[in-house]
Amino acid sequence: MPRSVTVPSSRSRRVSRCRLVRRLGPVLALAALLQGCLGPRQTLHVVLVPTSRLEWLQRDGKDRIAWTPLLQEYQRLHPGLQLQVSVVDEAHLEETLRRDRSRGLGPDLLVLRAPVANALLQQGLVERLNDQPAWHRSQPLLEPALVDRVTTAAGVSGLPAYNILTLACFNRQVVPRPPANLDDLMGLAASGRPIGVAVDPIGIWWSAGALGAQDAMVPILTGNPRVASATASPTADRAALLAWLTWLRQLALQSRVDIASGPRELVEGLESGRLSWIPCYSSSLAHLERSMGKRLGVAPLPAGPSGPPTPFGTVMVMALGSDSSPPQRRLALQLAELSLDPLVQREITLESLMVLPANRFVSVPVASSGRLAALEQAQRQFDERSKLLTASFSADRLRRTQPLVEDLLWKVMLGVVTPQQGTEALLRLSPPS
Amino acid sequence: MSTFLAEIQGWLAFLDRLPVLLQLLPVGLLLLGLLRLRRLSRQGRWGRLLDLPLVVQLLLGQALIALVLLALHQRVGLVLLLGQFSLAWLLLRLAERQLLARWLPPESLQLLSTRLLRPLFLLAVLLAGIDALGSLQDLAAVPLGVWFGGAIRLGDLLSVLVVLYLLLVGLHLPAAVVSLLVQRGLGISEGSRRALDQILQYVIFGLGVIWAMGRLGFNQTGVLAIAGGLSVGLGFGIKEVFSNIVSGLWLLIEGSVRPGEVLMHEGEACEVRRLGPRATTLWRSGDNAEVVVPNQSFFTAATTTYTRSDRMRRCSLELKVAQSWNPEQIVALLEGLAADHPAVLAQPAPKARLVEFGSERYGYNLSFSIADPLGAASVTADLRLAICRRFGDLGMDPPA
Repeated sequence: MPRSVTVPSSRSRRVSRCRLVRRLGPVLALAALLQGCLGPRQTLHVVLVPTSRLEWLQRDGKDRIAWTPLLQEYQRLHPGLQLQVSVVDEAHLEETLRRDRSRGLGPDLLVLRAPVANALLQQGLVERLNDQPAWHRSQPLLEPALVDRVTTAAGVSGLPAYNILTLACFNRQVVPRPPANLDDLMGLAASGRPIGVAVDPIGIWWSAGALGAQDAMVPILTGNPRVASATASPTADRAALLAWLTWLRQLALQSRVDIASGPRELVEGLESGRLSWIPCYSSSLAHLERSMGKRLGVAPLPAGPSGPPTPFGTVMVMALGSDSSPPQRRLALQLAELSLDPLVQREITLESLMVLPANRFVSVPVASSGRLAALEQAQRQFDERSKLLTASFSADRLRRTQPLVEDLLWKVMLGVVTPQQGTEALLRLSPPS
Repeated sequence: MSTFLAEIQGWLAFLDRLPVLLQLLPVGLLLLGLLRLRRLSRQGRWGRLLDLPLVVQLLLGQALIALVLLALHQRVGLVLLLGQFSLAWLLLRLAERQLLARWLPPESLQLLSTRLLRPLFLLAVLLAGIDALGSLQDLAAVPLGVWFGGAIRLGDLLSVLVVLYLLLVGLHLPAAVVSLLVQRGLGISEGSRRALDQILQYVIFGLGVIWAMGRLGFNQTGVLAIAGGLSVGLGFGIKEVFSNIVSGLWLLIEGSVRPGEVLMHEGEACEVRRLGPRATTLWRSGDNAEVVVPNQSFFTAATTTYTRSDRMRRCSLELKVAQSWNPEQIVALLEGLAADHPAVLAQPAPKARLVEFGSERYGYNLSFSIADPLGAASVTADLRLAICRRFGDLGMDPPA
């Protein structure tokens, strides 16, 4: 007897399909979650925090970062690993980290300035490094001064990777020979070549040293009390600050001197040809080179009557995020440790030509590159002349005092207040000794 | 695109973290549980709770999960974020049902919800989600290539698309307000107001497209060159579409076919509902159907309209009556019946004529005017009924 076959109607097929989807939905969702837990993926979330006030370089920072060789080497060692790099502005970093931490979505690794890392560690937004064996393996590779800069009461905030310094950038076509001292710089302006200076304390710091005011300025900027010494006295500080502010006022009186509000204005002025000489961060050299090509000249900053300049230096460190899972933490530590590898450090230095290695056993080939020679000289000047600044300090204090000092320098240079009044105002910002 | 996909893939790595799982798993299970419970019987103590909308149940559950996690000293940021999404959805639904439903007719509310409010809500949730998991700024900077000389980034492209979409769906209200103000200020007709409404939408959208090209950094020379090349392609390929768009614009400017006008289409009077870029939507009162007619047909063929200079329509009715009846009485009877109908205009007056001599019956024609051109069929039917009834009352044979 032939058996009858019932063909399901399209409606019943649709209903059964819906039921199937409804039943499978939760299973699939759970499977996706479990796959998330057990799957073989490896992703490291890295946050880059570009140097303060260089926010317009953020995109460059991601596209052509100094540590590209490090990433390449790391990915060669871990081919299955995905590095997810994002850029966060220093001004919004704390807020971003707090928000991400409340969700458990914080980064695994942060690349940022040492003072910022110190501040974050004190607030519990990054993990201290000194508990990790990787720190004990890496510490001997670092200069003790560099270790001090990342050591706080709460522990070690990050692993130093490379140094950024202030240099002089100029247009070779207009300035064939960079000024070696402050008189030459004044002469350059007097000869009709436009020069630019910024009022931000980091950008103008170099001239404080050349005029002997650096020891008086460091406590104001860092909040660390003045270290007692034979030469230290309130009268000496007052005289040094007065000499510095007087020179700044004289410089501003030159018609060819442009007083910029910050490094961005200076860099844009040099790129456009409006300025022929500026103080610049070494981290902006790649950007300047792309726009200026061979016209870009780099030299150490000019010396002054009190000796060599005091270029501002900052060390970029790798700090550990606080939300990583154990495998992610292991990967983050491997990446941080690899950054001090001599070969990687040499490649970072040679390929970027804008940073200096943190590993003290890596020699910088100064003979083959004028730019590296200038960087090396700036590093030496920084180490020798800005010893107070090389101590560990928090970025919070700098963030508070920076606008006040900037405003004061601006007023002195524009003649709103006299150098004497400016000196007294600066001294009032000093912490109690 | 690969950067974008890699970014999304990277977010899955967050699932490796215990704090993330502790937040997501309970919320996921809560949602699945609620979906399951809704199909169960709603009897008993919890029945009333199950009668609440799903989003309210979800919100309450998320609040409970957050409290438990807080008590266990765990992170709750993600639960709170999902709670914010639920709350925003609840507020949107409340605004739609309690606020907008009072002011807007159901069709307008449905359009506003489905085309503007809900897509905007989804976009906001999507952006907030991306910002929580990664960096919107970084994702926006993902390069998509160079188009027409402009380096296009994902963020630029998406922002331009969103603005153009908002212009497309959100222009109706402002354009309607402006055209109403112009109508009140200048006293233009209803048809002109609707035409102005459409033209305003086209002009603003056109300006939006120009802004979008500028925003994306398109090289104008390149765009012009490609437009020149495309025009040749348009001539051969999609010339019908292009022709309809141009016809639509021309009809609007000329004013021969405007929304609100009544014209004849395939022998039936239809009202123009919408003059779109490609086609015109007509409403046929006879069967309440909407007819979509390509604009080109109005541009190339003769169109009969009843609303060009006025809205009056002259209708006529043919009938045959046995020759035994006095034609003068019949003419007077027909004119009287037409004059009694409330929809028939007094001026010009209804007119009945003897138009044909037959062997057994004479042919008559009754013509009359009405104010609403779309009412011709119903008025004519009414008059036929009245004629039959009167003939019956008088003991006459029904008309043929």
